Amino acid sequence: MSASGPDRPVEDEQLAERFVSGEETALREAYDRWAGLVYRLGRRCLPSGADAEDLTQATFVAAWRGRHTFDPSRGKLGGWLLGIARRQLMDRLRAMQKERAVTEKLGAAAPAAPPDPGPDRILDQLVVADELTRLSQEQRRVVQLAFYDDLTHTQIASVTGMPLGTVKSHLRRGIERLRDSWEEVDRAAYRPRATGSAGTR
Amino acid sequence: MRHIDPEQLALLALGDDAAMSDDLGHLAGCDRCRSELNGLRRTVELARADDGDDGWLAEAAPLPPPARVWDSIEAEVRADRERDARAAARAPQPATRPEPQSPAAAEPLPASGPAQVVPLDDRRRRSRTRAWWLVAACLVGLVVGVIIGAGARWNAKQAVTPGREEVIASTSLTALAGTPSDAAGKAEVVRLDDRLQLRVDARNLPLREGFYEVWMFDPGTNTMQPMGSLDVGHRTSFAIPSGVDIARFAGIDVSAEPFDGNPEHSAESVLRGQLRR
Repeated sequence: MSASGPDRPVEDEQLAERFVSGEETALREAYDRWAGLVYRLGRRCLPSGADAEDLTQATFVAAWRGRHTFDPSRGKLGGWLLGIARRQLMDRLRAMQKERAVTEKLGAAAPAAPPDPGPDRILDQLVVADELTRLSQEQRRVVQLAFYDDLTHTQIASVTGMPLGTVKSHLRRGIERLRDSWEEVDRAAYRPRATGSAGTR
Repeated sequence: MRHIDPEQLALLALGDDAAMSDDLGHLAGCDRCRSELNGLRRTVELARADDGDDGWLAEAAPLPPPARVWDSIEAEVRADRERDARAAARAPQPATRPEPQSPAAAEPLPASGPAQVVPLDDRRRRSRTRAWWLVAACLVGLVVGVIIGAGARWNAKQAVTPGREEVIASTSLTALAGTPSDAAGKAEVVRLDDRLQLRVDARNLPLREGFYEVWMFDPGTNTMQPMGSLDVGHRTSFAIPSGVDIARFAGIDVSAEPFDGNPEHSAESVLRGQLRR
């Protein structure tokens, strides 16, 4: 996904290769690149900071132990990693939901429900926000003016002094890249598991 | 058919009025352009969703996870590496042994690899524990990333603060007949300075009226020592009374108990395991 935007595809492929071959420095690099995202996902969806830390740790340990199952022909390392984070998150949310159901049955006050937009949507939002920070400075500026200041492309051109064609091209490429980032994560999350553990869920 | 220009689609996705043109007619009849536009629209909407919210996405400098998260990961990875090295030292044959491939390798199944086929003997308790894990995992087809993640975290803590907290025995807990096969857990005896604690974590226990109780028992006599009620889905710690010999009370049992005020074991066990040092 994101780290693999058009700006650094080669580095990302190399990182994935080193990761799969068991180079521990690659684990650290993957952590530096994606742990913040996983942690924010946990902060947003789980009750405590400790849960978010636990989610982050479990995700990277699971990815490391399962690195042999990563198949570069089926997606990118980031999407695969966030797919693991998503499953780890879902396991935790399911466990909490069961507890809540038990608590409710017992008539006691139940802990708060998970945040309103579902975790999948939150993950997608985080991925898009993260990818936005990775666009080139000029592209990001144009996209942000369109997203958050609601400027039309002609207004953006006059605000920035960029030619209209450049603005349109930045908008198109920027939004397409953001789109690719969440689509990659969704594909990884919903792809059938590449393991023999069918039927366990 | 001429499709809508991609730059034009991006403008449409942004709701840029100036882009509104005779594309609408084309869109109505073209699945490809409509689906492309929908993807872009969702992207814009995902990015903008933050605006009306509390701004949580837009934090200028989101907090990174605390350094201890990485420390724990590193400790787990190191423990894996050392265990593999020990296993390799014990199993002399293949210099180029295959990398572990466990059935649910994308989840943190602990330890796989050649140790599973090493014959069991007392000097190889660790291998046996690992084999046991794998067999249990295969048998019930369990996928308990969370538990193991949490369990591994204890190990990690232990590794980070040596001497203070030490796991001296552990076991996985597996579903007994009549319990959904994805129910599973893990139990550990931890030495904290001079105290002993039993820590139990269990997942996917079925919902029911009542609660789950943890017991330590003597497998020889079935004498049961009640430990307390389990906080399902969370690692729960129980103080092990100093009179309980953990070598004798090595059985760990989780039972389903009704709220009947009867402190005796309900005879309805859901998970079991046997501690190994």
